[in-house]
Amino acid sequence: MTRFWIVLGVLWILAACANNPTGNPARMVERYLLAKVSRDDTALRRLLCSEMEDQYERELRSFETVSDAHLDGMACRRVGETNTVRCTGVIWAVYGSEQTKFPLTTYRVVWEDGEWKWCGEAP
Amino acid sequence: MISLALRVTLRAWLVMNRKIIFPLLLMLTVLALFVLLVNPGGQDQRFKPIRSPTSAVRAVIPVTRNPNNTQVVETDSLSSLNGIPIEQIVQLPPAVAQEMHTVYLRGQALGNDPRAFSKVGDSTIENPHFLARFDEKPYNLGSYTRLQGAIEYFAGSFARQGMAVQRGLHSWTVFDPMWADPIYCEPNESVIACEFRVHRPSIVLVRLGSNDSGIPEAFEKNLRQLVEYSLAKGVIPVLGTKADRFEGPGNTNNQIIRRVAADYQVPLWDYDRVAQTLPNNGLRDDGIHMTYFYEHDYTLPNALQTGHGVHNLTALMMLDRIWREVMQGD
Repeated sequence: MTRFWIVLGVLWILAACANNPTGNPARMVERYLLAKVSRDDTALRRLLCSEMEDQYERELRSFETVSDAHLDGMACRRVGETNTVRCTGVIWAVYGSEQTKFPLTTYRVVWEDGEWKWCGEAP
Repeated sequence: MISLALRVTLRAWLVMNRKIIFPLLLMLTVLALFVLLVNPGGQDQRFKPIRSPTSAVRAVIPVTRNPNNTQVVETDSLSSLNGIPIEQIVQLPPAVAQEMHTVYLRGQALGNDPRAFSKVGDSTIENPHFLARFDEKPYNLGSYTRLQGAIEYFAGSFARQGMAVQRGLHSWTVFDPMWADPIYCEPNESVIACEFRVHRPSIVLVRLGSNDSGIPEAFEKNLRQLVEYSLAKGVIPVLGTKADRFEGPGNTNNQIIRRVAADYQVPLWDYDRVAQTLPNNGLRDDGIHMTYFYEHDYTLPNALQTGHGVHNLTALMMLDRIWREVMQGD
């Protein structure tokens, strides 16, 4: 009987863990931004939340017309226990002979399909 | 009626002094004849149409295609440009003007500024070459002085680049918040939404397509989204065609721009039509950016031979037409 309760307890803990978000959303946001500037379609598709699926094309092609797009000084941190991640740093891109700067900001994240997903800028 | 008048006149003559009646009748007759001559149809002048049909100004300007040829021809300076009828370049048929008037009124109800216009596009329309001089001066309109009214009416928007003109901008990034300026734009606010909120325009000049290549379906979808967004916000979208063939030899993007303008019944600024009359289509060696017209003096022979010279002039013509035929409509 004791063994039964132990197994039940373990199963309950495993089930609870499966439903609760785990992992670091800040790292996911960093991966997403990296995928965006490098136009990594596989990573972008996997990390984009379902709410923004129809924006996939836009996200993929955002830096298509510029060259040498890269992240500089990126550091992201989850804001408390909220669904937002604040990032500092910039994306640099070259168009023609001039550099353009895209400062990073605060992003919204959601827990979907057992992992954190990027869901646009936080309002 | 006539006999009654005669009888009354006769009786008056008998009763009153004939020295007073006759001069009075003579004066009334002369007055009636004068009125008939001045206004023969009997129309009430208050209901004359405000707009003249084409309001073309006839002027004598030199032929500019061959600067060495001093031949001077009489030409209708507002009916054609380098031989291309203005109606083919500045396309605002009456049905479109009427539809846009409704959009304009909706925008006014939403708080849009009737004297403001915005720009959406890439490096081909960035400052200082696109329209800015009409605010900053000096410029000389030459034969096109009739357009001065539009310059004064929309003062302040010409030299303003705004949030939605950026190097490398293409139809995808118009709705991408990452491309919006974080100093002026709110979080998760797209480039176009930010521009409309900050400037409250009544007109938006759209010059996209030079950076969109490879996926025409996506360009069309994005352009339609932009038009629908503008109309919903009460902003008149003016779709401009481009001189370059960046997407390939088929002129695909310009065909899409023309199709979208026709589908939504919005003004079409078909610059590409007149660009084909310019040396190298009015483009610099890179095949995308337009040749300069630093002078902004439309009395000079090269005025209608440079990309920016003709681009600016035709954009101003479109603004003038909208001002006169849409904004001042009933």
